[in-house]
Amino acid sequence: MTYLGHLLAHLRKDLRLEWRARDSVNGMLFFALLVVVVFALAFDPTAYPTIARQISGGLLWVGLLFASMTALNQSWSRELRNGVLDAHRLAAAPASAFFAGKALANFLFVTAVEVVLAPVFAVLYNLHPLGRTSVLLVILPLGTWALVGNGTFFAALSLRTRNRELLLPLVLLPISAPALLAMIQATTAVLTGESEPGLWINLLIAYDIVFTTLCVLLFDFVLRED
Amino acid sequence: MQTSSSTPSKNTQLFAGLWLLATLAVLAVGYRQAIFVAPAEATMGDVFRIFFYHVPNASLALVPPYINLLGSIGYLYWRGKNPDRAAKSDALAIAAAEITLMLTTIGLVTGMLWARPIWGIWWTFDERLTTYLLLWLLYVSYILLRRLSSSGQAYTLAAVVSIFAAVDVPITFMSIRWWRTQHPGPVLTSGKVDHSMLPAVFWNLAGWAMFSLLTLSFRYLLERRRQRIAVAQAEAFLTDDPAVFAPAAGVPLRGY
Amino acid sequence: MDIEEFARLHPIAYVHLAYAVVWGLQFGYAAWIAVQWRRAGREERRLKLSETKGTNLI
Repeated sequence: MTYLGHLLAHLRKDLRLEWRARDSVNGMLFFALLVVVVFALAFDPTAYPTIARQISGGLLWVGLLFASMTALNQSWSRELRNGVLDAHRLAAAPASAFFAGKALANFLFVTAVEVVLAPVFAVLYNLHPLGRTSVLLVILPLGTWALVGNGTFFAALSLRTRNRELLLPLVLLPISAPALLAMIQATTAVLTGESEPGLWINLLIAYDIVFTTLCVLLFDFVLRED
Repeated sequence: MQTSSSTPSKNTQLFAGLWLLATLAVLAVGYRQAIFVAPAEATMGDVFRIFFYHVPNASLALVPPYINLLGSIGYLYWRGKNPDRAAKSDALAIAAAEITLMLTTIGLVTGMLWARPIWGIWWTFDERLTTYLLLWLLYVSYILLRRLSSSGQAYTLAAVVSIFAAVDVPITFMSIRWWRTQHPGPVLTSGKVDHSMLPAVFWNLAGWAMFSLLTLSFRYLLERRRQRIAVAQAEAFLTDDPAVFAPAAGVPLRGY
Repeated sequence: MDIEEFARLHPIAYVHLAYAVVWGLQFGYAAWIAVQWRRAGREERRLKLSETKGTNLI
């Protein structure tokens, strides 16, 4: 089996598991909706359209970040049952394919949530973007991958520690800070139309490339750790 | 296996004592230069004297992250080949991480004490403050990870996180620079500092560098001693020694 | 006298406070290491003692 074959096998398995249970996508979607509604209650965005444009990029990403964090731990703890993870550690397949398959699956789940969430968000916050909205189609996947790639890696890392639910945000948030800054700034630039998002998109691309490489290189250490 | 004693030799102790005395002397000179000799700055007045302690400590904080990175890479490289060298690398990594945390804390607190009388606010999200805050958060999370993970895994997981943190620092630095720029530029290299101020800066830089080096070595030796205890406890456990079941109060079963 | 006025009149107070923070943190950390060092040393000696006892029993 080639590397790509391993990767696709892992991806297929995760997608099938999710299709049968639909736990994480439903959970994430409802959680993100709740965050959006709670923020709307706190700030009343429809009364102040200019402020809504300025803050809604940040709110959207913060909501997605917290929502995806609820699913990231689940996606690995699923592997703990029946000693599946130990079987993976013994398997001859490359560890990074295991990681990449799971990260891709998580990426697809969060993207699905975004597809539903974005229109709801625009309606609830009465958003009229002033920049080119088509650029969001680049920013959203790049930002999602930045969150989910590192998130999947650190969820695996905190899997066998004490307080794993606590540890994931503690490690993930400081390391994701530049990516969060870039995706929020880029989204705000598109929504307000006041500046160009180009610089932040480049930063996101660089961040994605650097950290995906690092995750793939170091995942072997994390998986085979006892 | 014979666990040799971790008490340093008489010569090492003597050297450390002399080093401490020299450090204290340099620090005393630095204090005198900063408070009594250097003139008050033209616009900021006496508050400027905070810089004589703030700049050396905050600049020194940028050195131990590299030591931490080297220790972590060393651990990952040697852990399967040379357990002793791997343990040494790991001890160096945790010592450097704690020194980083302490120096960034000093940089943040003294910076805030300077900002309050000069800017009128304790805190603003400008370039360098945010960078230091994120540096501080990164190493807090590194140390927390070591505390929260159980014995066997802590070293590897922490080493992996350390590499992530080291790669993250330049990216954070650049992104924050594009985001905000308000901090007074690098004080030493911009040539704005009057020559009468320089002795105070350099004496304090030397003094705190010497002291940080001393604490770094001491913390390293402490971690080595804790590692020896962990090994001895594991061996006692294997030979069913009852002593292992009653560890002395306040001593963790292993160093974190 | 409120705190704003105090700050204006005595800027040197901030300097002394900042210096105290630096000395306190640097030396406090060193003192913490020294305390841990002694504790770990006691534990190490205790384990050595029990090690020899164990070999005597066998």
